[in-house]
Amino acid sequence: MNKRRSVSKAKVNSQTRKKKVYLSYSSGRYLFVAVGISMIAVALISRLAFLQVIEPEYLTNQADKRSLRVTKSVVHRGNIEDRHGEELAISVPAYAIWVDPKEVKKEFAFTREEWKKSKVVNPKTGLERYTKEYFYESKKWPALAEVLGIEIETIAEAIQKPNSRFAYLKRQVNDPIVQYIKQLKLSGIASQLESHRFYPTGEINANILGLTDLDAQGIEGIEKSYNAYLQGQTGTKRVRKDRLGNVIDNIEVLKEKKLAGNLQLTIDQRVQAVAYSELKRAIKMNHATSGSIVVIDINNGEIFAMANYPSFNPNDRTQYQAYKLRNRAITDTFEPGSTVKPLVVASALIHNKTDIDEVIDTSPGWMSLGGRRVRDSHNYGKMDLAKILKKSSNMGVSKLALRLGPEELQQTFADFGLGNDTGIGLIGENIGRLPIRHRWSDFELATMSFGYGITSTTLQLAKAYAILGSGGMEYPLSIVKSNAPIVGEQVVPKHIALEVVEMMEGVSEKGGTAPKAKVDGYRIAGKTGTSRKAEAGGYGDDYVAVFAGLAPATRPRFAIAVMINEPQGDRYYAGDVAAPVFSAVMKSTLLLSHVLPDGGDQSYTYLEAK
Amino acid sequence: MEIRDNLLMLILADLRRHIGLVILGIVILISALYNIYITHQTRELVTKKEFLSQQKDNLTIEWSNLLIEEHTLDEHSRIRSIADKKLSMAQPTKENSVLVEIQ
Repeated sequence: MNKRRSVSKAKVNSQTRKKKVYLSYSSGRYLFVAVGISMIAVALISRLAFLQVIEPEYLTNQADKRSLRVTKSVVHRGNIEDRHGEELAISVPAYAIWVDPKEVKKEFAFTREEWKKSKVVNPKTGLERYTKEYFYESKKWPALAEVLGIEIETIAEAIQKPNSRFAYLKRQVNDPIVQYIKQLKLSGIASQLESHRFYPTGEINANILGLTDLDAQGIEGIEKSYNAYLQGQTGTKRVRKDRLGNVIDNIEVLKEKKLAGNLQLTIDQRVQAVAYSELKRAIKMNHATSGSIVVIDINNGEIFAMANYPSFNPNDRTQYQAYKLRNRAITDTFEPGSTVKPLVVASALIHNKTDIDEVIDTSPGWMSLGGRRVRDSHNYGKMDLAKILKKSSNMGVSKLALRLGPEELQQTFADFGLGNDTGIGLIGENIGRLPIRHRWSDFELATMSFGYGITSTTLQLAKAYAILGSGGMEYPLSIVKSNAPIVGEQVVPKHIALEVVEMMEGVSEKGGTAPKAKVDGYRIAGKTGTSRKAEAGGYGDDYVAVFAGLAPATRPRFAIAVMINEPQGDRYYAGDVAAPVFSAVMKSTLLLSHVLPDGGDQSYTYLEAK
Repeated sequence: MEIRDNLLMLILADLRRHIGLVILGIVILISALYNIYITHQTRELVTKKEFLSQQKDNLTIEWSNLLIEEHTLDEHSRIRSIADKKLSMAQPTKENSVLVEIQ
């Protein structure tokens, strides 16, 4: 019964449903749904139009705020190299560690009272908690102080300054230390990229290279003279970053990045190292106060070495003292003494006041000029020009100078570059003094002929000898390597310059003033100069010992001038003080530059090239 | 029973009638997807470039540090004194040199 009923019921149901589907269509309901859906569509589209067309900036701004970043691309200062590409100054990145005291004060208390005040009690659990940590109990701060090498009190002091938002803790910190500090996760401590200048050759080049300050600006020497070139420019650009901080799009360059230039010098570091150590040794041995040495390539005016003492280690700023930094070879002038005598002889030859075979009578070894005496240490009697230079006779050159007159003599000195700049282009160069006057007494003229009353720098003296060596060609001196062809200027007739060089060879021979200037295997030409130093009110007891010379004498290649200031002790003559430095440095320079020996002795084994 | 139209068949018939539109639609879709793909690839490349230039910077830094180390060790006075004292070397004199002229 039951079963039948249910069957019939199902039958009825299925029949009625079929009919209902087709009967239930209502136009009102259809309309309602259609209008509803259209309204939603219109609402959506108008919202879209509003966002896209009428006010697109809002969302664009919001997106940019979350993704646009300005990135910096730091340019490090260019390197300085020697002529063989060996780096003399290198920049490496370093970091400045700084602190934002306000941020630190939020989390650390400096007094017990402050610390206790920061106690809060959780109202639900009743637990006590301190929002601030007591500064001196934290283990991180002593760790920071230790790794930075500063006292924790200094840090505390820097942080406790009222209203401060920025203080450097330490500058020029290297990367591993920065990584360590980052791991400490101290709030308010941040690092900032900067540059650290390192000089691998230390004190050897300190005077010529100069220094940079902490902001990587050259403040002395070549670093200053060529600052703009070495510096470059840090570039900035706008980029889009994704959630993970990866750059996904470069938008625009805000500041063009300019790569820093590397500077190549004409210095030969091997020669420079020898020059410095020999100079330093001579100064120490003779208890002198200072000294300079310059090595010039005669053929093009390039400076192979320029060293000074005292110097200092530029990597250790605590040694810094202004007087040690001076590049004395170009800034300090002295009276060149007898080293100008070859120039006087050249002048007399140029102006036809003598010829190379002339023999001058210097007896009795002294003469009176306007009531004052010019004298030699001995009565040398009759001498030719070469012997006058060999013996460094004041009488001989004075006689030549008196024939010349002041204008002609000074003109020759000026032709040799005295009283003029050398063309090296470094800041602080002194041009020396070549006084121009109308009236000269005979005595003044005579003293000028043996190097008093005029002043020059070591560099100028080396240049004058380089002009002699190059056969009268003057090349502007250079310390920065350039590819431009070097144009020389003939300032002295060639044959006269070479004749004077030949005359100067006697100096290192037996009976000359500087046998110690000899170089094994090579013939050298040079001249000593020992001049008294002028003080207030006359000449004192201190000396300047100078030696200037060139080698090899037959085909001059290098000119060297050595100046040693105020040697003390029994031996203060240039032949004992400055000449050995010349000899040692010249020897190394010639050997390192592979200059063929011209000594003419047969002790070398010659190998025939096939 | 009334015969009902098969909806699927109707839709297919409709699509066939406007086959041009359908193809255009598909092309637009492909182009849009390709656009997304290319943009993604561009970003990946930019990221990679950025990463590589960062790596280059790091290598440059390492290089300059090594350069410093090299030049501190090969400083001429140091070599000179080591050759002199440790290795008992001396500069050759003219007696033990051989001259070779290079043409």
